[in-house]
Amino acid sequence: MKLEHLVPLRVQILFALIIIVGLSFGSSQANADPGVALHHEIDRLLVSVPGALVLQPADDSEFLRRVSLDLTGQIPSGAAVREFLMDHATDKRAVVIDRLLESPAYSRQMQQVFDTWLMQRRPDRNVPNEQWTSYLREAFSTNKPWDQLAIEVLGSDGTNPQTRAAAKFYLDRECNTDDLARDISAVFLGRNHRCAQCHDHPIVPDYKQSDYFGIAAFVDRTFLFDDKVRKQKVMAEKAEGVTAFTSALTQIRGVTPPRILDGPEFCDPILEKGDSTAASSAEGAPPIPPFSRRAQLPAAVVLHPAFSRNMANRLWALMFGRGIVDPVDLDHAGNPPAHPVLLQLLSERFVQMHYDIRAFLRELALTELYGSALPSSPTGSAQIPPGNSGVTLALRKLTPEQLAWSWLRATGQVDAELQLLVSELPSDDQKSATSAGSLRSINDSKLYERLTVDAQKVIKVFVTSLPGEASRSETTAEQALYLLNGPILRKWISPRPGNLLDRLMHETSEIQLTEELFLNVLSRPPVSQETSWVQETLAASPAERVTTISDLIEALLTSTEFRFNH
Amino acid sequence: MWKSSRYHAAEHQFSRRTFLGGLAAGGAGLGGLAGLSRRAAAEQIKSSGKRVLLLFQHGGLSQFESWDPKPNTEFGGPFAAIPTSIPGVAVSELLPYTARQLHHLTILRGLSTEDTLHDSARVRMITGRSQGFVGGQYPSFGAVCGKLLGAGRTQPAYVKLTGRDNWHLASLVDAAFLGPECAPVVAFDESAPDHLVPPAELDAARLARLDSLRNQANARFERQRKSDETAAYQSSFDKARQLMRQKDLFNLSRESAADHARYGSEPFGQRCLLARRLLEHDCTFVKLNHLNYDAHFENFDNHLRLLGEFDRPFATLLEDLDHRGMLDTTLVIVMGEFGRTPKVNSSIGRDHWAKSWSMVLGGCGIKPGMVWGGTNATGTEVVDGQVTAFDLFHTFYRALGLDPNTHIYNGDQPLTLTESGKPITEILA
Repeated sequence: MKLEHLVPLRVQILFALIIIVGLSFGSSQANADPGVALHHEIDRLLVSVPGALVLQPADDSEFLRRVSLDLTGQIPSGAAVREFLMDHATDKRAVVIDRLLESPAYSRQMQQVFDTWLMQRRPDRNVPNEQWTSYLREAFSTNKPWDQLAIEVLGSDGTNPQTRAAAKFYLDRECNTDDLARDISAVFLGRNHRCAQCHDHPIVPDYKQSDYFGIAAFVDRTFLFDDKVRKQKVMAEKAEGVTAFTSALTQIRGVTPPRILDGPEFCDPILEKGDSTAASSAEGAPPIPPFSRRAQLPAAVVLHPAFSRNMANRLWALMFGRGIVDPVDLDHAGNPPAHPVLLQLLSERFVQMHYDIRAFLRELALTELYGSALPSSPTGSAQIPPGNSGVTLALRKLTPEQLAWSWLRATGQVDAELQLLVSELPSDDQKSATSAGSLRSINDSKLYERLTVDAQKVIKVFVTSLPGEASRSETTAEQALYLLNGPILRKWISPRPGNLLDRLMHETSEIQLTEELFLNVLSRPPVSQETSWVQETLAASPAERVTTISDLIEALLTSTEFRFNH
Repeated sequence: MWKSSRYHAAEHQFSRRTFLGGLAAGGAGLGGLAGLSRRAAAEQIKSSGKRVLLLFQHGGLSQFESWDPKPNTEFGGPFAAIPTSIPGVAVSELLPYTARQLHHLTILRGLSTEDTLHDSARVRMITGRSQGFVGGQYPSFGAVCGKLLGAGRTQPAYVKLTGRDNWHLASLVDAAFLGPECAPVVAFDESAPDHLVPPAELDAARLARLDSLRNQANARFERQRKSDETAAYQSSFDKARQLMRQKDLFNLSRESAADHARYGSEPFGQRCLLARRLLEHDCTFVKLNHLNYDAHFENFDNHLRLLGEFDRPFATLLEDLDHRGMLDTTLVIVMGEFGRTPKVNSSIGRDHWAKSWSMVLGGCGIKPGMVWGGTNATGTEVVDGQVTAFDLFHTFYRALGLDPNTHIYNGDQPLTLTESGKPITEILA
């Protein structure tokens, strides 16, 4: 694509957007309404093939816990589990999926997930975290399509207060070309080119130095500008500059125009005689070049097939525990997808759905695979059963955020805090607020605010990745020490009005006690041996009933069953 | 030289049982050496197994400003060279105290390791491997030593000492497929791991019950759902309990005021004192981090400062290991992930350089007081005794009395400890 004529910046972006809209509109026209829901297509590929693994359906309680964790970032409440188990509607799983997708907790979970992907837990630099997370939450509660979100994040320059939050991706990397080139390719295209900065990737033949610099070329002329008038850092761009590179291994030099992988090149337009070549700039304002390379980036990224493939894969990984391409940012010929046809289907349908994240997640949640029990693995080896396509539901740890918020819910801190919030309302409102349905109308933000300080302390202990790298949570002895001897878990367990220990202390029937304990902490009813176990434990220390119950809660909170999403 | 005044008998309670058999739960005192003659102590240490002290200079120490100075040459920089306790051998003037202890060590000046990217070079120098294998990473030298040498000895066998704000360097690839048993314990900021002491209201009986309840809760789940990750999670609690029993191990206030004065109150000095304590109590592998040597800017000022921190405590540590008769059984290794460029850049810095750099090692299995390998007059290439990272690892393993061709197992997949190379037999004792 060579732009022969000088086109103003705004028009360039508009032009690009028209192309995208046209293309996606066009594609949905070209493939006439498929008629078959995506989840059925997925089932057809995975389950109905000869030799495929026969799946056992998950228990209702297993399913509810899993889908609550994946879509809302926390375990369900004991009450929600009870309600779900007693519901006899045949479509109850579909109904609960929709209910979760519409809840404020869904927006918060997606905000958390996308924030980690896009900002990698970097400390705040030029855009406060609160503004950014609000922006994300708003995006997910209005179900902004992924292409639109990507265009905003990659297209905002930080000068417009309405869209400044979206510019955090650039601004908090201080417009550093290397950080941006690497993260744009890893986060938006699923290809982490980091090692290709200095030479063709030594291990991955697909990742070439020219690929890295092709992306870098879009942002190479961009720099952080200190706008003294508005007293903020924004982005500015030089009018010229060539992106050149030398391989540290071969010493071969290269030059590249902006280009996304194997996509079209975006060459600078040929200027008419007499046209300005310099960036124009008003007094103290950031310079604006006559042709902006960076303005070409959002459309170029969105139009590349890797864009939808990457997000389809990441969303699959979110729900199933492992990407079809794994790791999710190492998509290349030497790391093929576990099921190429499935990934192709998902990528295409994601585009046809106009990058609708909520609708896509709904389809994944409705598949037979998602609704099935994990394959049993008593020997501990993570084998892929024979005949299986290579795509399974994986046993995985809760993320640090899921862990903290699930502990808050399991210990009844959420209930206790809600109770407190209700009691702080004017007495006229209290009566209506406590009716079952309208407890949810208590401002989700207020609840979050009250609990987040403690939650963040826990999260910090469980995050083991460095700011700026892909999120990791390794298991360490230090985390175990924190749980055993640290103050937080103990604080959350100790009785206060409305929390779990408070409720259990006042429960005289040990059968009810066990049920309430298991429903709230492990999100399932106890089996009979477990009820006996609780009874025996209580009987062994009759004089210390409260501390015994407390220890039972703690044991379950720190159990492997709690720690994992299964 | 043996100075008995340095020994405060009351501080160490020696018990032969604890020394040989690893530490039992609780119990009074940890292994120590007081109350024995130097010879008897040395023999006890010999029989208890080999240990390793790895001092890692993250970012890449400049060989010009340390072990292979080239004063008054094109790339030599402003610092002079000074004589050392090895006749005829000089090091940078930035290391005066270490220079006086150098006769315990051997310098390698012919290191040539290809890799100039921090992460992959670090992997190379810490695992003895240039990259992972399909589906996984190789374990670190520390994890391997913990596995091969650590059985029945002080737990944790493998400890890392680092600053709190450099967590990422502490966590880079470690036990890998050797499992959580071989994973290190990290002590930040020269203090014990956080939360070693249970809250006052939890007595021993209650702690025991909590463990028992949790194990019972896990038993049922484990019958159906087991994986490397679930095993790691469960064993993290066992490790935590181990650490709680060992909380005194990290308690630097148990060392004398005189020793604190000798090592100094700066973090690196305290870290060296803690390393001495851990090694003395028979930890198998102690990795000590010092950062940040990555001097792309202001190379000379940075090395002046860093080696100023490094020099005296390191020399003191060497001296103490020698006096305690521990050098024979402790392999001491000091290195970074690469060296630095001869050419000084426009920010008065040196960039990454793997073509010709240096490191020092000594103690267990290594002949002391030697220089092996050398570079040309300007320090731009190795002219003699070229050594790869893998040669180095072959040498390390041989020095510890281990066969580098031993296999470790990823499930049932046998893997060698390092890539092909040759040990430097000339420096092996």
